[in-house]
Amino acid sequence: MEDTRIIELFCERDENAIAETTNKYGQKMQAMALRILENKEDAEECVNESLWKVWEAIPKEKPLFLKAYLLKVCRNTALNTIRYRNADKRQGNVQELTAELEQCIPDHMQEFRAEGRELEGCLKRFLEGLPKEKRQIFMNRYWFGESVADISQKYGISEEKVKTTCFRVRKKLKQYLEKEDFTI
Amino acid sequence: MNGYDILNALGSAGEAFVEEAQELRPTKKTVIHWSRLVSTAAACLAFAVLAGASLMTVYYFASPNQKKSEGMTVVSEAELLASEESLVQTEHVVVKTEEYSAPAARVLQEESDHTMLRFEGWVLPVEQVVIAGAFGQRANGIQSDHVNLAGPEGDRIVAVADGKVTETGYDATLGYYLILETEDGVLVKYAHLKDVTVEADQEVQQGEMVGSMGKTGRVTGPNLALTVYVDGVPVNPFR
Repeated sequence: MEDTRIIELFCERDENAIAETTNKYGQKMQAMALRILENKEDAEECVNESLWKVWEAIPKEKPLFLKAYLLKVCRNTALNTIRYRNADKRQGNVQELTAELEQCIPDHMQEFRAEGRELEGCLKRFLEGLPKEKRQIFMNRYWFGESVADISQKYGISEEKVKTTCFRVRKKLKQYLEKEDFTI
Repeated sequence: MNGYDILNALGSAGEAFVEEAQELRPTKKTVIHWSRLVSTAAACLAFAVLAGASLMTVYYFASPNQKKSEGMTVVSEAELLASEESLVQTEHVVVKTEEYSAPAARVLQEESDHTMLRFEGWVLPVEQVVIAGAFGQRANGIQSDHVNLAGPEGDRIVAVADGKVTETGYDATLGYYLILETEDGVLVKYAHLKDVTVEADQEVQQGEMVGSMGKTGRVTGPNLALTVYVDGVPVNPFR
């Protein structure tokens, strides 16, 4: 079923919307949640919770691209699950990703709390300015939470190149955050 | 602020790049100029049997650092072109090359006159029509239901007639696309766009910009794939 039709079903409050979404994107959502939560049962629960959130959000929010929207909701739900359930002892994969991203934060910003929207806007502008190839690698690592080995295999490049690209993009992000004048 | 804040904020910030990130390989290296591979009759037959989709993922240009995995054959571009027939039937072939850029569009016809259009009152979707792929039977034996109009990436693409956008989206083959339904009920599909500047259910006027020329989806270079359906049947938009 076309995405536009699925969104219409959500808008019409037709429960088939859930079935059609699960049928088309359930596996991708499950894989996304599993990468973050590293537990099958938790991942299943996360997908169900995400579908419920989407059901509640549409039609108030009308996504332009359903797949990206679903994956975003699923990713946020999984990250929140970890935040609330296991605040101090985060899951291995998330711990690794957050530790790497920690290096992007300019020293003077570490003690401040970032305003979510401002930081989002700043990151979006940063991503827009990246060359496509670097953006793809960065997104796969930090948005999808994929391992360096998986990215290396996916793009047919060495693991070393993936690591170097991630390192350089993180360094660039740090410089960008330093330059950007956003509210902290 | 900590790493977790960035990871969290990235969720919304990166939403627009999710589709791009899921492309199998960066665009300039994803697609081999497969028309070269299927230039002989035998290759055409093998291509049909093995199905285009799997071939497109099997043959690709790799970076010089490509690691060879099990079942993978690494050849040079020259070797590949010299032995088309046998390679078409090989399961894993990686072509190593330092740099690969899409070949220039094969220009079949170059026009900019509206009268070349089959439909009276329509305007051309692009300023300068460069037909890189014709409707119907192509030289490689494939029957095409659309025309490919080549042009510089980012060029303005407009609505051919007044109508309503019925669908917009992204597809692995079509890239970013939209479907416009004209007031006469003709459906016009624009594919491989760099971006779509209209939304589903939006009314558009003839000549209004609907997107820009791109190379998203399965393509070798920037072009607009234009498919026109009359009563559900694809027709050639040109005379």
